[in-house]
Amino acid sequence: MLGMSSLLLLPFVLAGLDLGGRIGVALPSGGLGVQHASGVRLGAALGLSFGRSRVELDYDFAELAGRDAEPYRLRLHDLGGRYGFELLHRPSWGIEATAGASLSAASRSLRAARETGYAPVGHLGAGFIHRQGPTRFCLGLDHALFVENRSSGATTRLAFTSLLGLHIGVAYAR
Amino acid sequence: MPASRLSLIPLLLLGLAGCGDMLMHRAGQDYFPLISGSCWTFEPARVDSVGSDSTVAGRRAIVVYRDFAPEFWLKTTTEVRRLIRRTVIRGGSEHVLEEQYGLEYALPLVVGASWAELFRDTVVLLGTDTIAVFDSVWARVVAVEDLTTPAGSFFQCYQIHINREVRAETSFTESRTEWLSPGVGLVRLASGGDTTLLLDYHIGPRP
Repeated sequence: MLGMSSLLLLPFVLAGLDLGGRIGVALPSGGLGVQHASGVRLGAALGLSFGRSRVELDYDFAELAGRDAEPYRLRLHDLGGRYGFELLHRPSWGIEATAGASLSAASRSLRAARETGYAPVGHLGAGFIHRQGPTRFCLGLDHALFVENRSSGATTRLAFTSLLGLHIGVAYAR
Repeated sequence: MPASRLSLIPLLLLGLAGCGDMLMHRAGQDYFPLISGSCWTFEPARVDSVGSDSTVAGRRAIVVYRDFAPEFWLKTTTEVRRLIRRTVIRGGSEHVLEEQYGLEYALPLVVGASWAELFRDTVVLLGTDTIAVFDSVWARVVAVEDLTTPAGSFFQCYQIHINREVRAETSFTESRTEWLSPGVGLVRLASGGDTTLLLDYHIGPRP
């Protein structure tokens, strides 16, 4: 079964794609930071680099606990795409700026109580890149801005919520 | 495909995603702002305001004037409490039956969340007269609603059902429904067939 999956992935790998994972911390800011403590963030990305540019399809999961409210959790599953451009490009390292968008499925739970929802998210980020053979290391900072809007009659309310992220990641290409 | 075109794909996804459903907005909001200088005017006539802090019953409390009568509130990231003080007159002097910061709201608010608290005590007055004190509260967050009052439109309000039963020198039960708006607090209250609506408000000192 594993061999079959490898064969299916082979054309993508040969086409220059890289696959990697990342781990980091989600740092709530603004109003979100009053009720929520920082939490763990895990992710995976499928990337394609060409010259100074890079596109990524990525998935991230973040879990934030409540401040002093132990049973409370805010969980985010985020799927989207990013474009990165190396502002400083050297053969073995670079400084990259990224921008992207994603759709985030969120849930808030407090014991048996649970709310679920989704929100579109805009991302801006920056990172330090280190390349060594087929391996690409990244230390990055990401600002996720959740954009939500609600209309009732003639009144529309637009709401923005910020979540900062710090991560380290590694991707491998053949 | 050039990189610039590829980068349009996530932006297109963002556009297709529509408006979201405000869950993240709710997660970051204060539904019971007790900021000094704030004032809420309701109809039928009632004015609530927040004064400065004061130490009462051994705790540093926020003074809230409800129709100009002082109440003492505590607020943390996990709960909001109000000082409950019940007294009775016996032999020409006042005796305390109950004095505690009772639970009003358990935070954060999440639809389906509930909380309860029970205070029970037996007080002996003048050596012979015994009064059993029973004070219980039970509350549940039942919905998220958008609503309009004379003060304007309020989005993403939590609707909370609160039941209280008190048995002491005098006994009563109370059932009320409150709507708390993000960044504003109480905007609507329904109790015993009467409805109180927010008429005007400002959070913090009046600009």
